[in-house]
Amino acid sequence: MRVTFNGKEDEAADNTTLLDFITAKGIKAEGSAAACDGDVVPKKEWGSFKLKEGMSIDVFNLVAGG
Amino acid sequence: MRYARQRLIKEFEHLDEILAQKRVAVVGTGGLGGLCCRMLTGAGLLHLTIADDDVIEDSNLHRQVLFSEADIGASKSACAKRELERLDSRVQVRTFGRVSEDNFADFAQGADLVMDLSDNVATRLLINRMCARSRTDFIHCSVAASEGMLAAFKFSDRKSAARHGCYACLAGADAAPVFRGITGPYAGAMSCAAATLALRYFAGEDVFGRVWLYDLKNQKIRSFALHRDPQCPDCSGSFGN
Ligand SMILES: [Zn+2]
Repeated sequence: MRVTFNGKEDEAADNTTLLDFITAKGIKAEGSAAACDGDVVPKKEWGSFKLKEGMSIDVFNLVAGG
Repeated sequence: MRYARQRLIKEFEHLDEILAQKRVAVVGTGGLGGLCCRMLTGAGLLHLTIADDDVIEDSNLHRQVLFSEADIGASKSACAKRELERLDSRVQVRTFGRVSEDNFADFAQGADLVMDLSDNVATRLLINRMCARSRTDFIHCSVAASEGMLAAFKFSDRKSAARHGCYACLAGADAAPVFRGITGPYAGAMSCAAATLALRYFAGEDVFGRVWLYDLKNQKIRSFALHRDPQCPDCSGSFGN
């Protein structure tokens, strides 16, 4: 199915979870946060959160400096 | 009149009068906190509590605008207080060293808002947890290289907190951000973004329940609604299910 990942068109297999998708991108969970269709998805829900056709996925780095 | 130009901005017409009655407690007076405190004091905030247990080092001067070469080796919070008093002789600044679970209540006493402008994730998780526990409104701001994060949590409102959660809901209690360098203009841009959010809050705008991601290199901002993790160890005790 087609999805949007960080503003760009992308593909995801049916029944893919957000965690599968992020892991496949080589992104480490402990350094990131994610949102789907404008809503942050808490990290503990990534493994059960199923992606849907047309969904817009944003994954961003956690930063802590100042 | 000091605030005449600020009062020309419609939403900030009465801001200096409002700020004169408020107290903000700020963690960190370095790359983010220093300039932010200066902006808030300039806008009319007269009561600040600032916490920083670092001393000024040469490697701070490229981004930490309150300090100069002559300050190297001196306390950051003491020098920040001195600079804020130079800006406005009326300002009352309480200084703190390291904020801990034990002294948080004293640090946040009387604060209408706590701002986390520190420089490490352990402090960030601690301040978040203590703000949630004490139901103190909270702004988080962080930066690394050209990426910045800003988020606002209305912990004083149980409904808002139960819906939007806390920083640990967003980042995870095991958050491990990577350190990727920092420079003055990027840190300064995020300082001002945090100060702006605080001013909008005091001007009466509902700024809570969102996170903003700043791509400072490409000048793009993304914004998302925050959602609570029902099992979050840092806020579920405070805001229940
Ligand atoms: Zn939480």
